[in-house]
Amino acid sequence: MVFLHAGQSLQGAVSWVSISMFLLFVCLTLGITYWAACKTKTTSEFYAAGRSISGFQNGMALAGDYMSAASFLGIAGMVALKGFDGLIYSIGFLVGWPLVMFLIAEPLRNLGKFTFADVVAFRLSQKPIRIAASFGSLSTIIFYLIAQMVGAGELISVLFGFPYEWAIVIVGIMMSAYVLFGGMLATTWVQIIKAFLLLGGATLLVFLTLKQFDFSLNNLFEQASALYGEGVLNPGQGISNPWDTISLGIALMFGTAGLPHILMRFYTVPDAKEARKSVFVATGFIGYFYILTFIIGFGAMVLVGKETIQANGGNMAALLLASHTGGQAFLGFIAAVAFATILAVVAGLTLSGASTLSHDIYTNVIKKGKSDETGEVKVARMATLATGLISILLGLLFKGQNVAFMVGLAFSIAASANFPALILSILWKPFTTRGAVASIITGTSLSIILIALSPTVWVNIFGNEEALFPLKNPALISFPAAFVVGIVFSLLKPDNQAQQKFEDEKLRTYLGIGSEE
Amino acid sequence: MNIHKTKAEQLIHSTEFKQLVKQRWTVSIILTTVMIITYIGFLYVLAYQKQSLAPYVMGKFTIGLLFALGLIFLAWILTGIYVYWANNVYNPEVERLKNKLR
Repeated sequence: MVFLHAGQSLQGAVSWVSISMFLLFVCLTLGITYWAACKTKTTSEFYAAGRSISGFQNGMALAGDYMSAASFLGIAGMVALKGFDGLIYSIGFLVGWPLVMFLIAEPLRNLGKFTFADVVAFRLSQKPIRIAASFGSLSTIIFYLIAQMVGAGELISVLFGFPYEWAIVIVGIMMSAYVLFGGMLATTWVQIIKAFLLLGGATLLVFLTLKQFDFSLNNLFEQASALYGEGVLNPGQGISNPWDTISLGIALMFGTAGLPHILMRFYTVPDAKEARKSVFVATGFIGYFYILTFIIGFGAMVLVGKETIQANGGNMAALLLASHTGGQAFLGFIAAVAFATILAVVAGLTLSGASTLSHDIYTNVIKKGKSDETGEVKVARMATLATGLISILLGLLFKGQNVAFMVGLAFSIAASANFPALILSILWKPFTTRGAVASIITGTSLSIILIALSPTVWVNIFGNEEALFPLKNPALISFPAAFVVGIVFSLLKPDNQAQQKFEDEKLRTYLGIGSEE
Repeated sequence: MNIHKTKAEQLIHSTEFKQLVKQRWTVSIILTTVMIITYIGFLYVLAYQKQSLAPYVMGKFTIGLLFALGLIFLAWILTGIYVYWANNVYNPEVERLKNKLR
């Protein structure tokens, strides 16, 4: 990344404040990891923190898992440059949460053990379902992880002034350490602390910004439109293809309910009631956070100016605003918060990837469900190391690449591969193994193929003249396709045994009788 | 064990249990539909009739901005309604049916 100086730049701008803040965060989280490591011996402790997390804590941790640096810096930057339209993304990210609560959270908690594949495989054939579900899970995790790692490397190298490669390695080692030693318990507390820091930091930033406008949003909007025209307040200016917006909307809304690292968190609470409460808390914090990023974006637009934000690469609006409103010390604080944000999100993804490899593939496919406790924890730790290594390699491999589309792709796969299989297995009695496998494979491969042919990849990255698929996000096609394929394959060859099991499992689904404790 | 099993089977086939399951999904599907329709509706208007979102309502707040903030509040309200219903209606019924098995 090249930074042209237009008034202000952040290159290596970080002071001793951020370094000491960051070191404090590292020491605190490693301390927690040590404490958690003493308590993490069984599989239930490693994958699900012994189901000891309260609804409120899990709500904070869910918010921590979800509020990535991309949404903090990316959305604030988008609002700063484009005005209102940046908010469209935030709302898409938020409206997925009520759906998680109404459709998924409670049955998931009651039926499963550690991963969402537990629920899909519950009344179907273990082996094919686990393999297909891992395919969907791992694709989601890997694309999400690449986007996070590359973003992290760039951000940290800009802020802290060390090379991209170092940044990737440091992030990789830290996240692996949390998960490897502290399992879900350490990961949860890292998320909670990060959520607290991020919400606190963003609130303070909004406070300092609004102070300059006599605490009136109206004044802020007035100055924004005086500087850059009414266009920044007018909705929908940047929308060229309406179907693009709706396709992205589908991916964001249903994708949230299919993100493996989010779904996994519902196993950390004692019962369905706490699972429900945690979504309520998470929805509250995430909604509040997006309102903050919207104000931060407009604040940066007015106080920092579009030109300076553009010259700094577009993603640094929040940091430039911090420097403007609170000086070097506050910039250092917000930079450290951004670093903590990245670490927490990648740790959650790593744990989720590791549990797919060890719980779904090793235990339920290779060992056919018969593995002993200590053996599985050992494998889970090896899988963590493998996931950590792979993410470092991918981070190095994709250096300097435009990976922004990968978050959209991850959401599209989550919405089209994971969500349909999950909801059909919970709600639809005639669902069969063949239907589930076909649905997951269709959702994943259609998402990947269509995005490769889309304007973002086919034109912008491969340099072709015209896109073979017109939409930037494939969900409009892949999401309904996964449902149709799942339903058709199930109806073609009914499975009476699976239908009988559907009836038998109802006491567990709705009353929680026999669910994991 | 055998008696327990028949009790469980009886419960699964009882009208009160079926009623509970039906009620649970009715509530869920209604709330889900409200969320999806308002969000997709918002995107639709944004894409095809953006000029109708542009007028100012209060000071520099456009209809579009109020609609967008309204969606965030709606997400809170709908989850709140669900939690309230589940804690006050669904869960007591779950407990009552579970006691029947003991």
